[in-house]
Amino acid sequence: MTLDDRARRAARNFHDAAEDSERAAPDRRSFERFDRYLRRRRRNQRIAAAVVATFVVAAVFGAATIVLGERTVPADRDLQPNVEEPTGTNGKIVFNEDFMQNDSDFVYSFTINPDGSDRTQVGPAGPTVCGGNDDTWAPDGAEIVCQAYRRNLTVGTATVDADGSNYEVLSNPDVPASFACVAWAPDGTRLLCPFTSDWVYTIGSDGKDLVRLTSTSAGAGPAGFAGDGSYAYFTVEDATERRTLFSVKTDGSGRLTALSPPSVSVHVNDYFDGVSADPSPDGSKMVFAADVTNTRRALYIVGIKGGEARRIETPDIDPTSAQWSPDGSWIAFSARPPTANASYDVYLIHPDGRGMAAVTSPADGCSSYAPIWSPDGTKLLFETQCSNGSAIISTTLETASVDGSESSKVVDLNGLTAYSWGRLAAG
Amino acid sequence: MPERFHQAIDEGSHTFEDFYSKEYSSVVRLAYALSGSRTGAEDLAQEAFLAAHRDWQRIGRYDQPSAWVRRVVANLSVSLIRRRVAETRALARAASGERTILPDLGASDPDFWDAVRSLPRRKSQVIALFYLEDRPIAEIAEILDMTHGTVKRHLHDGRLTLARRLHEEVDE
Repeated sequence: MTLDDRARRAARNFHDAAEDSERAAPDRRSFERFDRYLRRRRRNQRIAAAVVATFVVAAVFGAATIVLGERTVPADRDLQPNVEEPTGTNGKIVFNEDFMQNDSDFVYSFTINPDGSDRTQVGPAGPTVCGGNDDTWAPDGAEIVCQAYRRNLTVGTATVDADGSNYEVLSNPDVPASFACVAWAPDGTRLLCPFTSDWVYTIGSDGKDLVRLTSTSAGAGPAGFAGDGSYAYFTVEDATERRTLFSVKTDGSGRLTALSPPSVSVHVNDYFDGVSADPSPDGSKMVFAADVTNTRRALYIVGIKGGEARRIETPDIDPTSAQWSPDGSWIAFSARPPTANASYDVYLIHPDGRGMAAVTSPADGCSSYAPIWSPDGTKLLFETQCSNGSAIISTTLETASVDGSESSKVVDLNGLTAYSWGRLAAG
Repeated sequence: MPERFHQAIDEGSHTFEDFYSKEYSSVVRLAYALSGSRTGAEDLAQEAFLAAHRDWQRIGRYDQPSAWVRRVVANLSVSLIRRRVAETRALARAASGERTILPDLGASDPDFWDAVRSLPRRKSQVIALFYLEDRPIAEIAEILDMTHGTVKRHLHDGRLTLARRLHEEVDE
């Protein structure tokens, strides 16, 4: 029996049993039952409110002094980055686009210039994801690493040139059935492969010299090399759904170091999880967003070798998708107020917590998500999605200057999964 | 477009009572499959409908209020705290004589549903909607507010993990 057979039989039996029980107790689905539930909840809320009010009155006296005395709003609006050595603003962007055809989902990957010109398909049509991570380009901007999802539910790794030529599936008899590499080392010689059937590996970009880094599996999520490539980072989700950020030495000699505090869970956004954590340009620190409670999130900075994580306050908004600027002076992230149906905006903040400012101001019904930096640090690339109620009406890849004064559309999309901004291609 | 979604879109013009009567059974089943709580699933479903009821003027105008209430119940059902609270409430009512009658999952491969619930939160939601509700990827994306690509990845990863844990082969 296959998994699908078993799953569909379990679902069928489940529905049969549920229908039998409903026939035995038809009142269970009656609206009166909901009405009773509603009245009971209102009564309980009134009682709870009366009890809580007693404690709140006492607590307010103590808390008010602290809150009013210490809270200040950062006023730093100097948004000009300190650019020393631009590596090229006309590097290609790689992105993935979803198409629905005859009720089936197809993913295509493309490269494109930031001005929207020269759109070129890369990799074969189908479930191939090129650019699912912010380190998906080779350092020289010539190649992209892709994940190729196979029909037998395993995933492999391939590389392709920015012009769509030379698509090559990485081959090594020693790799496990699923072996997805997501990031290039800074010297372009190796790939980090966290999403596999068993452990986390690095492998030469020629498919040789497999090195096992861990005895734990990482799965999907943010992952990459830090600094000069001597450390790698990735996240692991445990059985209780708590996601921890780890670092490990890439020579295979070191043990895993948990970077995120045990009290929080690293937040991974569902639309582009590769940008949920990011190393500083010198590789000494990591920034990430984490779920602090069931409803609130915060940004943290921690050393790549571990130590105490420092929380960056982002007043009145819940951050996600933190990305360090190329010169290290800013962190870009997306965030929204902790209220139902609030929109996401793109923000900047200094690593020391000063100068938080919004870069985008989407129209009503629109949100801007998951910013990544141009290689020279002068622009941000992000997705803007507009919806009417629960129906998505547009998805656009956009760029904006870091002060938000200039923005331009790169491309309109059917649906978006991930994107990455490469450096100026060699030659 | 599947017939099921045509029906859901039509619901926008109906009253909350119509909506509740039509969707209750399938929503409570989803809550049960995701929470595994025979006692708490009904409370989880009621909480989701309560959230819709509070804001029905807005939600009732959505193209797919049924997708909205499924998103809420899917999120409630995978929250450990919410699940515990719902179970506690339901047990308290059971002690006072009110019955909660849901089928025993023992008849429908409990190991399978245990394995689904042991998946990470988003993967378990995608898998439950895919198998239990027989939803296509586009509808799952709509319900869980994900892109199609994200649903595909969760589905791929979730099925791979299930196959490994249940010692089953995956289909070509």
